Amino acid sequence: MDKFTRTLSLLGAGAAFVVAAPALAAPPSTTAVVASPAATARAQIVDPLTLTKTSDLDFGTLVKKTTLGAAETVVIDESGVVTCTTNLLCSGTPTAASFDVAGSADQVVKVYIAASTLTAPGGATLTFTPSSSAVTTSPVLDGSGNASFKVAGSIDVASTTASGIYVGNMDVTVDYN
Amino acid sequence: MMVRIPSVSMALLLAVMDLYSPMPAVAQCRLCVTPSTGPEAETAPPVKLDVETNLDFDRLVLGGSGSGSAVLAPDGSRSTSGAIMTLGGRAMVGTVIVHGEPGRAVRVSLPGAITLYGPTGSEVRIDSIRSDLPSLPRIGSNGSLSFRFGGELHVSGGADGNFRGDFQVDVDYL
Repeated sequence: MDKFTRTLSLLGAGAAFVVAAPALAAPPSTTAVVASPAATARAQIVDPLTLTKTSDLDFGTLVKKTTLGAAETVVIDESGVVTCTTNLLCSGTPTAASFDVAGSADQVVKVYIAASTLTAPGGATLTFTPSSSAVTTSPVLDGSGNASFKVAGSIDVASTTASGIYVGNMDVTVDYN
Repeated sequence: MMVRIPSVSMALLLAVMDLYSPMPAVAQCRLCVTPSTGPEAETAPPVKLDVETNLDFDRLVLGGSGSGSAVLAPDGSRSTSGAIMTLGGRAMVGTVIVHGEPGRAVRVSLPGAITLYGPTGSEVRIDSIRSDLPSLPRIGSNGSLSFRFGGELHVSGGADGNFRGDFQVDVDYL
């Protein structure tokens, strides 16, 4: 009985010591503060873009010859030159559409042009298709933040295309690249 | 009779040891050996950090010459106020991976603010830098701990251009 009691109290002391040990015995941190390799934070601040039309697109006058049958594609290029087709007569003063875009200097801008519908007074329609170069154009704003670009494209005219003055709106959107 | 008493005491003694002792039942000098509850400094692998992604506010459209701010929170959410009209879709929080001893507690120090410098010497500032670290960060069982951080960018005076600033993240074992 005597022996038993003494053994118990030794155990009790041991348990208490173990609980206290971490605070007493844990080695102080000897590792130095480690810094990461230099990290970089970035931000690009730009002015809002403005888009202004400086010229409408005009194919001029296209006269159907009697020999015109299936649709022929009439193309206008960025300098406003119309490539007339075999069975059409082209005249007038065609012009490509042109726009001024302004924003922050040296930025690249993306241009989005959708195909548009031209409508004549009787309700007949023609589809204007922007040229592939117009849809891929990426003007670069100059040191003052300005650039301009032109829109070229084509329409299809067949013998069945009604006569009239076809007019429509072209949706053009610009955004920073 | 005399033979029986010690065996009863023995059984009782063993039972008591199970109750009290978190230590293995091996005889140990508890008063002279330092029980190790954590690894000693000399054998722990050194702690190090890698910045996986930089904090990038991408493109901000600043309307007019007013001032504004944009916030990128560590969880990736974002907001803008004042003259800042939009924040680019490619904006990214910073991510850091800390490597070290599994289970070890660490202290990570992020800068209080970062100054970004622009093309003509203009400056913008990111402050309120916050991370998604828990209050007592520990290296995971795979030996690494990763976290994200973000901040609030303040812009004024109609400055535009590309802004960059360097900073460091510090870590040490606790």
